[in-house]
Amino acid sequence: MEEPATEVDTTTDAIKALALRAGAKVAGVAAASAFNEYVPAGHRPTDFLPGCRSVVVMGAQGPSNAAWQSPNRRLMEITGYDFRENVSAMVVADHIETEHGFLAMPAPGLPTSGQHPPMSMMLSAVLAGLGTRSIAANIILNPTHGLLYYAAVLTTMELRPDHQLEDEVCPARSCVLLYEQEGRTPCMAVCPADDGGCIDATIEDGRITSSYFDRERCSTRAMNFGIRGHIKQVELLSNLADRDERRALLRSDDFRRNLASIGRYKESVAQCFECMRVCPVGRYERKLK
Amino acid sequence: MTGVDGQEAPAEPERGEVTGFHVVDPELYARHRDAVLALGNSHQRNINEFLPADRRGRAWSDAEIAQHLGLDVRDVTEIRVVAEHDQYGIEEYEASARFKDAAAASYRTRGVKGLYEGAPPPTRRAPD
Amino acid sequence: MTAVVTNRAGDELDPAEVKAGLVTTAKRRGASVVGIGDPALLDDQPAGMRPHDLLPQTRTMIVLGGAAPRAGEWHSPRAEVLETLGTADRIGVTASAIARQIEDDLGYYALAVPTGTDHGDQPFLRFSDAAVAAGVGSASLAGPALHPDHGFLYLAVILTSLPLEFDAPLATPACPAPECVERYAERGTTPCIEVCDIDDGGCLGGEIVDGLVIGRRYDAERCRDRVYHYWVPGYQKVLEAALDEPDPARRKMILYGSYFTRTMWSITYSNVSQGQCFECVKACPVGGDLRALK
Repeated sequence: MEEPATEVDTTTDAIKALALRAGAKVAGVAAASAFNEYVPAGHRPTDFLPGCRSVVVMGAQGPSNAAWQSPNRRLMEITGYDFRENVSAMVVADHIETEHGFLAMPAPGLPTSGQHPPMSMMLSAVLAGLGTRSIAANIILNPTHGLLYYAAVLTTMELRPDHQLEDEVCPARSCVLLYEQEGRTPCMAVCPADDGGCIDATIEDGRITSSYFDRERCSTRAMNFGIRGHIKQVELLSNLADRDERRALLRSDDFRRNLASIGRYKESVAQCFECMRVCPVGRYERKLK
Repeated sequence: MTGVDGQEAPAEPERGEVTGFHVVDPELYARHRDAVLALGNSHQRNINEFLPADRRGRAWSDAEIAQHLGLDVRDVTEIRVVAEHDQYGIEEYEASARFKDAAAASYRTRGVKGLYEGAPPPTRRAPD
Repeated sequence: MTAVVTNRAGDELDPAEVKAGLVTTAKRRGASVVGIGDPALLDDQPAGMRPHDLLPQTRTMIVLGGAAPRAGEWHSPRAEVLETLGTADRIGVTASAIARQIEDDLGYYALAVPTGTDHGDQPFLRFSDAAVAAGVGSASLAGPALHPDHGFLYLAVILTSLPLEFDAPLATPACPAPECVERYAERGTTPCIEVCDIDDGGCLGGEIVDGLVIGRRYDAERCRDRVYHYWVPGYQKVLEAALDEPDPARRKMILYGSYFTRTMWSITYSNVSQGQCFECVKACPVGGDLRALK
């Protein structure tokens, strides 16, 4: 049954408010059809929920503000996630089904094919007007909060869609000035693709005109300990004929840390924040007493 | 519907993974690894949504790559996933740890200014 | 004689009110159904898996059912959806909270039974049997205990020394559903058998006679390989394949390949991605009304 337009507005706002109460910092809605321009068949909302009309997107903080202050960067890397955006997604999905009677489900965002998730939460955030893609590892920056982590809910319910932000969050004014002076923004300076890093871009008239991101090198940093390191070590182990060498590897701190990270990987899947550390967007939001 | 390179898009929507356990032939992997990597999402060029459509790129799906290269999509998936892991050796993980130590220390002592001082860059240090 | 129930301070409480309060709290915290079961009904379980083996002071079993996949997830044509979202340990969290409330507020022992398995991949207690005893569900041909209204639910069990009035097992089993009785009469099969026929590479078989399931056949090992497709058993198998592979180049293809990677993601995200086959329950009509959303 079609709902009157005014009810759609009210319902949309109520669902966004629920998402925020459930732990998200920001919430928006993308039309399911908006994805078609950007991703191939097989990765669109309707591929996962036939009849999907709306994608509710919620973003939450990663590391706490205090974690950013810690001189021990591993602390932030181990406790970087509290998954409030996923909790918010589950609450919203449950609410839509139980209270409104429409099909709803958290969008499948876990990698199922190597590094690839079935659906992009970053694109969802862009299309819901929650942020824009940045030079720094293509991270979606929210204009107020900077780095946020995103989850989404697919639903057959019609909601009022938001639209992509009109103004790019990146590059920030200070970054444009630094680029004009030094030829690099802070994130490009800390992690330059042409010198062992992951990031490159060009800026003209204050706008990104080209960008490059080496995802696999970034993965060695952002997933420093965990699945990928473990796979490398198992390969090494399987190639070692010498029992003492195998034992040394098995008993090494790195082997233990990789396995420990796998056990606690949910909290630790992001293990590099260096491009975000130097990013001015959202930095002042993180300053507390 | 057309695919990325103007060809007809694959008939079936791509699944994240078509089969459970498929091992790609190492020689097939070696032969097509670079081509698959170039078309995939490992090296992301100009994917910013603000870029005009004629400049904006996107990664190809495994099905699209398979159709383009004339390969079984399961082989493409395995070539891509193996190549993702194979791009950098285990030494890069150690280098990454040193990078992060240096970058965090640089910012703590000199802030953003520290990024623009000296050579070699202060955010990367050679192993001891 | 009705048991006396007191709070931590020793004040006498109305047992019916205590029971109702716990049920309300559990439902507010996410349980769809709550049943109070007689632990003696599980006395015939294998040694070590009886309620009194886990908590000698057990007088009551509180069984919670809930946190099933959403209707949207059941409707998705993509297996990856239920593979990565279908498991839910949320009901375990609710059980822990209820157990803590019983101990803190009422002063009785309360143990939320761990939901995982241990030695020999055996559970600490058979939750399906506890659900049957508490009237939260009934045994099914497909395997899980099914609630007549909700169908498949994730279960949690709290063993407690708190004496509560028992709910009875269900008088009418949810399985076989009337639709399944009809289909069996017409075609000699049920929806769950059709999708996973033990005589055709699947896991399930059985007959329906006089409205009851008899002669249930179940290939537990095949089912395990499907449910834990990418979880620890999948990891064990692919690691074995890798270590058995004599050619280093081919071994690399296995270790770096998608299946090995996927098993690791599944292990990491066990809370949502441990159970990975739902096909028999997807075909099951019990609880189907609740999944018929817009």
